[in-house]
Amino acid sequence: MTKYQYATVDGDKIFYREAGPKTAPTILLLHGFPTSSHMFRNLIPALSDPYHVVAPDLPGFGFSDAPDRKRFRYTFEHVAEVIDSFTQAIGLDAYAIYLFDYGAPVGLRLAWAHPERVTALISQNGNAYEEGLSQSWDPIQKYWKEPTAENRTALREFLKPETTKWQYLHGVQDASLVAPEAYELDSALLARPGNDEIQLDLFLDYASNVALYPKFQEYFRTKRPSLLAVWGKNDPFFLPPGAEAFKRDNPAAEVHFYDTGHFALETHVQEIGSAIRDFLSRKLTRQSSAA
Amino acid sequence: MEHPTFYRTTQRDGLSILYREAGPKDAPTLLWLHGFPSSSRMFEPLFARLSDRYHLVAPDYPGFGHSARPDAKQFDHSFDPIASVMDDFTQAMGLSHYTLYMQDYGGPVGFRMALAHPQRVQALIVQDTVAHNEGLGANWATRRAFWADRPAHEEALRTNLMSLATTKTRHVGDDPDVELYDPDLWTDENAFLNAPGQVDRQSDLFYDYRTNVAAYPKWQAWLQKAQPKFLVLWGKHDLSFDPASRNTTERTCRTRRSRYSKQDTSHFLPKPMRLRRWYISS
Repeated sequence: MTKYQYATVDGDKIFYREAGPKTAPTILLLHGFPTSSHMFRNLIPALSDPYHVVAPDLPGFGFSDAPDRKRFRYTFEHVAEVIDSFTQAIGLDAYAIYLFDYGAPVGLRLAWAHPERVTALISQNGNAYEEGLSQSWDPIQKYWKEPTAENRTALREFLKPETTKWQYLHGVQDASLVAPEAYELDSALLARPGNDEIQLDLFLDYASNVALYPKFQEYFRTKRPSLLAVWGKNDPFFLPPGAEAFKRDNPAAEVHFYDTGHFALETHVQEIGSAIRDFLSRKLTRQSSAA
Repeated sequence: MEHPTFYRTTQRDGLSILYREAGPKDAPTLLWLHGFPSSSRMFEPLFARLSDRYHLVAPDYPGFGHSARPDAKQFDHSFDPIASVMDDFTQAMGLSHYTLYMQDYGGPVGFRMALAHPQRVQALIVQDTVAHNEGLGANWATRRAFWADRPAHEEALRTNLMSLATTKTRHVGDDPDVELYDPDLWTDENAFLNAPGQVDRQSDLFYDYRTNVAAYPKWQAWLQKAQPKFLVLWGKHDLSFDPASRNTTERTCRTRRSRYSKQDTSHFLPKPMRLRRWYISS
C-alpha cells in the first residue's frame, strides 16, 4: 500500500510517496515538469512487491513546499541538494534512480556526488546528451542566450493548461489510455499564485544541466553504472538519439523504445514496469553477490 | 497491461460524457456512480483490482469531472435529469443488465435508475450513501435549513462548497491514518469546485437534494418489493453522514439478500477493499 508522507528538509516540507518493504533495495523515482510523484501512481504498485519505492515531489512541485523565490534559489543544483538531504533524512544509503525529464539532471547530480550510493540508473526520457534535445527547446535556449523579460514572457506558453495536455497526448497512439486527471492536477498546481515565476526560473537554469552533460557522460564512462533506458520514442522534447547515446559511453546500457510520448507511463506502465523488474533482478543480484 | 482503463467520451442528450471503462465486455457489468464533488476518478483504485473479472463502466455526471459543464440555461442541475442522462448513457453503451455501485450522490442517481428500470438491476452495492431520513444526522441541520429557506442560507452554503478544508475532510474524515490518503484527491476536487460556474451548478444540485429525502419512502418500498441483492459498505471514519447511518441503513433498507460491511476508511474509498471477495451478481 502506498503511503503519502512528508519529510522536513532545511525547514521545508518534502512530500513523498512510499511503498514496499523498507528492508528491500530502494528505487528513488524522480519526476519531471510540470508534474509530481503523481506520475508514478501506477508504477509504484508494479514495483513495490519486491522493492522499496520512494517518490518525492521536488520543491516547487506537487505537494512539497514551494518556498518564496526570495529565500529559495530555484536552480537544479539547489533542488538536487534538497533531494540529497531528503534521501539522508529518510535514511537511504543506496538506491537505484529512475530519471525522468527534470528528474534526470537532479538524479545525475546525486549520482555524480555520491556514485557509491547508486545501484542502477533507469532513464525514462531522462536526457544527458545534446543530440537528445529537440527543436521544442528553441524558445528556452533563446532565453538562455538572451535572458530578457521578453524571452522570459514567451516561455509562459509552456505553463498553459493546453500545453500541459499536449505534453501528455502528443505522440500517444491511443489517447483514451491517458487519464485526464493527470494533466488537470498538474494545471491546478501550476496555477497556484507565484508558481509561474518559479517555473520560469527553472527554465532559465536548465542551461546549467546542458553544461553538465559532459560530466554526466564522463561519469557513465568511468563509473559504468548499470543503465536501462525506457524511452517514449515520440517525445516532443527528448529524441531517441538521446537514448541511443547512453551506449556510446556505456556499451552495456540497455535501451528500449515504446511507441508513445513524453509521459510514457500513462500508456505503457505495465511494459515499463516489467522491463525495470527484469533489469533490476539481473543487475542488483549480480552486484550483491559480487560484494 | 491485460485490462487497461480507457478514458472515453460519448455524446448523450447534447452533452459530452466522459467514462472510464475496463475489463472484458462479456463479463458482468458494474456501473459505478460517483459522489460529490468527485468523479469516476474515485473508483480508479478499484478498477485495478476488479478489471480481470468484471466489465467496469464509470461515467462522470454532467457538471462533474470531465463531462460537459452546461450552464443552468442548457441543463437543469437536478437529480432527475442527471439520472435520465445516465439512463440514456447506459442504453447508448448497450448495457442491458448491471450491478449498480452507488456512493454518496450515486445513491439518489442510482435509485432513480433502479426504480425506472428494475429489470436491468442485478444487484445493488451502496457505499456511504443513505436512503433513509435517520441517516442524515445532526450535521445535516444546516443543510435542511438551506432547503427550507434557500436565499437566507445561500451564502453560507457556497462558502462551505468552495472550502478546501471541507473538501479534504470528506476524504480523511476522522481517520488517524492520514498518510494513506493521497492529497491529489482533494487538490483535484478543489480545482474542479473553483472552476468558473461550478458553485452555481453545485448549489442548484444541492438544493435539489431535498427531493431525494422526499423520495426515500418510495425507494425503501421498492427495496421491500423487489428484494434485490443488496450490499452495504460503510467507511467507519465517514463524517458526511451520521455515524449511526450504517446501523439505521441495516434496519430501514434491509432486503432478504442484504449484507453489511464496515470498512476501515472514510467517506470515499482510497484504501484497498476486499470487494472482489464479496458476492456480486453474475
